Amino acid sequence: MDAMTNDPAVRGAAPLVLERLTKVFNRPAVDGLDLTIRPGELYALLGPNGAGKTTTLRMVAGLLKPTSGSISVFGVDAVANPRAAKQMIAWLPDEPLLYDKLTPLEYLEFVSALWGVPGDVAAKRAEDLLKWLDLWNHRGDRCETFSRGMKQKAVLAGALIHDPKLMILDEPLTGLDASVARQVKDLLQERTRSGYSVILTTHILDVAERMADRIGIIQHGKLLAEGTLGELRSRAGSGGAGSLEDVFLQLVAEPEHV
Amino acid sequence: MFRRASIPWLLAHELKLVWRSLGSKKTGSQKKRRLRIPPWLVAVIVIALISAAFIPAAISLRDVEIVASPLLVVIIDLALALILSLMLSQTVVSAVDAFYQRGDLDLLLSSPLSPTRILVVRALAIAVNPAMVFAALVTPFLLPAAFLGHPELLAAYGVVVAISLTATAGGLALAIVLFRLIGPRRTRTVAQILAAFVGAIFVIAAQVPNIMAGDDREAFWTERIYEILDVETLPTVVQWPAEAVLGEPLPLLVILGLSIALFVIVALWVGRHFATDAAAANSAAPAARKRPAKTTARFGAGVVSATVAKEARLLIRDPGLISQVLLRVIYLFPLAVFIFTSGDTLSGFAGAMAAGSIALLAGQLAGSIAWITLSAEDSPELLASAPVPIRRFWNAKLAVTLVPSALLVVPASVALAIFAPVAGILGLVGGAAAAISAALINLWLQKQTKRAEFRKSWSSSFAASVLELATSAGWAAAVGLAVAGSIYALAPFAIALGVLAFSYRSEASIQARLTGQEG
Repeated sequence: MDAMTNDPAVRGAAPLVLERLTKVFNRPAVDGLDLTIRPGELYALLGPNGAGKTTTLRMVAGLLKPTSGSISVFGVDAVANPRAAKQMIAWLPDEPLLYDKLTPLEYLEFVSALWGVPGDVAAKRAEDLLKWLDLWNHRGDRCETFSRGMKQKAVLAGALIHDPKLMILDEPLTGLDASVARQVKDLLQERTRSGYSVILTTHILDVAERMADRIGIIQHGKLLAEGTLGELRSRAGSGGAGSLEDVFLQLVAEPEHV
Repeated sequence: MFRRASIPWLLAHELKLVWRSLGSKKTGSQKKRRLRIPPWLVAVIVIALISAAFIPAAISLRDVEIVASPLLVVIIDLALALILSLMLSQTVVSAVDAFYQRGDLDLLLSSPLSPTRILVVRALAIAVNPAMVFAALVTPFLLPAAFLGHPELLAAYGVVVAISLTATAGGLALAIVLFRLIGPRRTRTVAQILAAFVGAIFVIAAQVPNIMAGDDREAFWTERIYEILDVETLPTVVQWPAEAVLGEPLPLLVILGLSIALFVIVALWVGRHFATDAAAANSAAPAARKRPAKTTARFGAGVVSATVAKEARLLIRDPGLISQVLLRVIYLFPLAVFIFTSGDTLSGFAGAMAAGSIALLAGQLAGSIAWITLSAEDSPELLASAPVPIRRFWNAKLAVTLVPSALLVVPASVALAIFAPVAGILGLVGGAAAAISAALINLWLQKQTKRAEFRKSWSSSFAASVLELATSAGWAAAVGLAVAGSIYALAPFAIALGVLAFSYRSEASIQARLTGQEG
């Protein structure tokens, strides 16, 4: 994989900066959110159902236009220049949306063309990714024959084919069996170790507790608390003890802690 | 109102779901949603307006006694046969879907209800759909006449119900026979292709005389009409369906009774194994390909060529779409036969009809494929998150959409041009215009729908379907009238352009609607 830290275009800039980000549907789904992801960081965005997690990520991925506020991806204004921002991002939705009638190899061929990956580079990466994700022997099978876990792995390969500098994942572990979930977790940790950044949402608090460098908790579209697990424990007043689940429930139940 | 979990109660539940699916979709703001006119209301208004147009005809028929003459009986029977074939093509697919559908079927089959009862309710729901569609289609002609002196014609609704039950029984029987013969893996594909042929069989049969040489063809229909006029009494089996439509109580009761009996027998027969068959259908893996898997790919293509390749693969590998295309080809076949067998006698009215038909078919084919390529995008978020302007995807998809239409229009127009050059050229121009118009309407009014839903296009993109048909018909009429040398060609030409102008949406507006941000 390319060494992101050698990329002069992105060196020094924060992977993601959200300032006063707001999205209003019938009511504010995201309400003046400020958030910064640091280089090489795995950031877990947690919150109850309907808190605005997915809406936030969809705005960052360029799928939704913010009502107000700004999104900066490696210093690029993602609202004003979405194409440049998208070039550095990979978006992984919670549902593995694939083309059932394509093979994983054909899917990667298509996705690599969208991100303009040179043919020889894309072919090598596709082979490496499919081998690493145990899909190489199924590269000629249509995705309609795949289990959910295999589909999720194919989508993951698609997300990685252009070597994204920032990965945005919405509930990446939902519905995956233990071995696939382990592969995904290993991948995310490897990415962050290499200097890439990841922001994800998850309802599996145990995963966030063990993997995330920092955790943000949002409710009603606002950031309730943010920091390492230790910092969150302190804010929740749990005296440096308690699991993330305890802290999360306490913070969500008592928003005045912010 | 009904006993819980009884057949009427379950049917009411099914119909409630259908009814709600006809309502406005959840998009945009609450204010916008309130202003949206539901498709069923549009249908009611259209039916009311067409009914009003038939009131003068109904008034003129008020004092005329409708007698079941042999000629009228044969005409009515042919119409009923056409309706039966069209309904059957719909119910075959619906019946097969009843086995494959997940949705609430798992919930129902895991409940203590008997699978037979669940199947009977599903079958009744299948029957209700075509019955409603054809009842709506005959209403504008029937209702004014029934209210203005011929109430006995309301019996036609009973006949529509009988045909619907018969078609549903036929669809279920065909589905279960396919299941037994070729297994659940292939049943769905074969059923879709079969449905296309069943739907077109009447049209093909009606074209048999066209295959004859010119003089024989002219004589065929004249001879048949004289034969019918010479007949004093027709066999009961021919006479009764038409008499039932005209309100004769005994034929109506017998036909309804027979159709109900057939429906019940088939539903009970199929229902006995419904749970097992549904489970088999859902555990069946997609059919294995006989050809070895393709394990190479062509990396490094540009966005447009990669999108074209992807869309082409998805279209070619979709059996449902192939059946739709086949249906169009089948409808084009009689036209081709007509052109070739007419030879140098083709002129005037016939040339105009042929050129107009090419335009109509091109528009319908392009519209069907455009809806699939544009609206039935299985991974819209992948495209939206890619660093590529969405217009480039649309252009690639439009290109893919227009190729099949071109493959049909160009040969048909060239063949027509050999015998009637002006008709051929105008057929080509009209076909291209209709195909491009239909594709653009589907681009401007696209929605996000799963590809598996494409068969329900009439409900998923109701507005697009109506406008697409209107513009195709406009081009067809304009071309036909132009070939005939009529100045009135300008009127449908203006209508087609007007429909296009009405359908136009800017790129920003399309994207806002797709992302649910329509203000």
